[in-house]
Amino acid sequence: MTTNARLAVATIALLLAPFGAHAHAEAGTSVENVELRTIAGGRVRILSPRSRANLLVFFRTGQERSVDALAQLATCEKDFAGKPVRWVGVVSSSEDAAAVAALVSRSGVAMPVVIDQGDALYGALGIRLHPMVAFVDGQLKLQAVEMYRQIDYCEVIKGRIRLMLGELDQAAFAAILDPAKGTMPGDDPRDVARRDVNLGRKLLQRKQYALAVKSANKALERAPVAAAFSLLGDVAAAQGDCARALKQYQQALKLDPKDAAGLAGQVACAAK
Amino acid sequence: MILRLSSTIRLLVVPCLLAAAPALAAPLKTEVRKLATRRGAQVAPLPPGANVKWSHAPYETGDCSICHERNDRANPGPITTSVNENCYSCHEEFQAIMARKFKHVPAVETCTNCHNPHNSTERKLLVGEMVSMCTACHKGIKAQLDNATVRHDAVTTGEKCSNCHNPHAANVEKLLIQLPFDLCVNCHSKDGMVASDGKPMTNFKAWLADNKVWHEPVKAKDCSACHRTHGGTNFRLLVSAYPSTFYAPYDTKTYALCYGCHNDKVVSVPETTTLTGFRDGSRNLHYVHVHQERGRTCRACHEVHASKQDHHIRDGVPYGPKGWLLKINYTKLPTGGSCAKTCHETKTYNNKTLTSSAPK
Repeated sequence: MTTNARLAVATIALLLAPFGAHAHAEAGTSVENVELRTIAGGRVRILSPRSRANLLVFFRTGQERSVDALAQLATCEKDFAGKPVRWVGVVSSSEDAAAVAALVSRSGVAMPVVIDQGDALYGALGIRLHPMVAFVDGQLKLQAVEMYRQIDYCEVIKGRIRLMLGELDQAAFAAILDPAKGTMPGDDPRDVARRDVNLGRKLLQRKQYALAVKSANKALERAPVAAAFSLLGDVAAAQGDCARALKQYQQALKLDPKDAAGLAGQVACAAK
Repeated sequence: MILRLSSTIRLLVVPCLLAAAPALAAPLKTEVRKLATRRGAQVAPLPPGANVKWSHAPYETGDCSICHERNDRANPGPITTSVNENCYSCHEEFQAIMARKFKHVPAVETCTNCHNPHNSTERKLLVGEMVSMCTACHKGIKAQLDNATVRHDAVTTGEKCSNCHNPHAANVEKLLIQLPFDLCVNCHSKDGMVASDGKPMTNFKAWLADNKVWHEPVKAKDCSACHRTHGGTNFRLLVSAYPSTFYAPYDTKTYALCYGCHNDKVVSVPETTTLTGFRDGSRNLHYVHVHQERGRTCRACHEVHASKQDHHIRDGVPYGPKGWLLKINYTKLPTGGSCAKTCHETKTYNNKTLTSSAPK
């Protein structure tokens, strides 16, 4: 294709592609499966209809984000070995071919890298940023465009591939895009209360009854956990006071009918 | 408060006569020096006379055998199980925490890498002050903190490093408690916050709710794409250079922040049919506006966090020392757009028809 013809294609593509609020083309846009020259010297088609996920990785040289993205994508590539996933790197024809080859070699990616003559593909997909990954399905429709991100980049790329492969549903992918807050130890007062109960149990084993009771009461000051009441029951039972123990077990089972220590304690006291 | 990161776009764009400070791009990765597992002195009870502020409950019981082989203060012997197993036998919530995807290597190795199991002068029984402890290994972050001329109070106040990181394990990379956006907005969602330079700061919750076209890094919840969250040398903790003024001579280095993602050719080539929609035929209007000695900087037309119009085009830009709002009056048209009389006479561009020579 001549440069002028290529530009005509690009212009037509611009007229057809719905860019909406974003610079890049929107999901559902058809992507022409053009054949482009590779940096290795051959020619490849950019897409494979047999692949359920075609990834076009737009990057450039002299940019730290592209370097990091390619390094991360090298790992991603390996994770999907043998699956219907096709990876193609894309660089502008204005890039220095030797610099591109060196970057690709350093990164460890195995994907072919095509040269986008006159930035026609960039224009058709409205790619304005680097690095960007365009996800195209087997019907050659654009599904999404993902920019580089400092945090969880590989997770998002892998998640989107798995979504296209049917290995993840939308809810699971949404959880990757917006992971649950990782609570800090002690955020939940019940966790802290359980620590006191666990310590109290160790004290009970050592017949340190007063300290065990103190630990259980400390737990109850933090949160009403069934295990603290059953610990108080066990201390009372160990001291031979089953009447008092039963009251504590009842409190525990009121909070949690399945509390194992409470249930076991009731049975043991009833048998006496 | 922990609140000194960013500022309102309105104030970001107040033109001033100061030249943009020279700035280097912050590296994406920082050095982490792996230290040998700490054992010995740090795990023993603090000596008499130490300013003990926190004491571990099992140690307080006076019964060494809770963790050790013998209940003998003079000679308690080794602990009965591995350190972490011992700790988790009471701190059972750690089974779930340490099952998270991203784990802190020192926490996996042994809790006593960071905690004294007996007593401490620090909260959470840390063996030292948190920032000092963390930066003992995280040398890159230490360098950032030491060299920062613009500081982020979140690092040194409140829970310090733990304001944003879970030092044990997390569901988000870099052991972040949440994605950066959620962490930032936790604090930067109030009116009346003032930056260290005295300028008011944006209530981002309100701003983003009112402006529905979000910049890609904001959509990706990736504030750290542009902001160096530990401390830096650029205003507003920006990771690299960005003009602080309305006018600036064109130099790609001045726009290192934007060109960290955006293709500089969007601005630096005079003709294009592919790189931008802001062109009249193939005449690149970004180039026309920016590529000159008294170039209009990105802020003249674009909001950086969120806007009401597509392409992050702002409604108006504060101009002059009193921040008079200069309206952009941009209108999107089927064949391009127009800007009504403000900076210049009303002008319309058409990006659907080639009216000038195509790029080579």
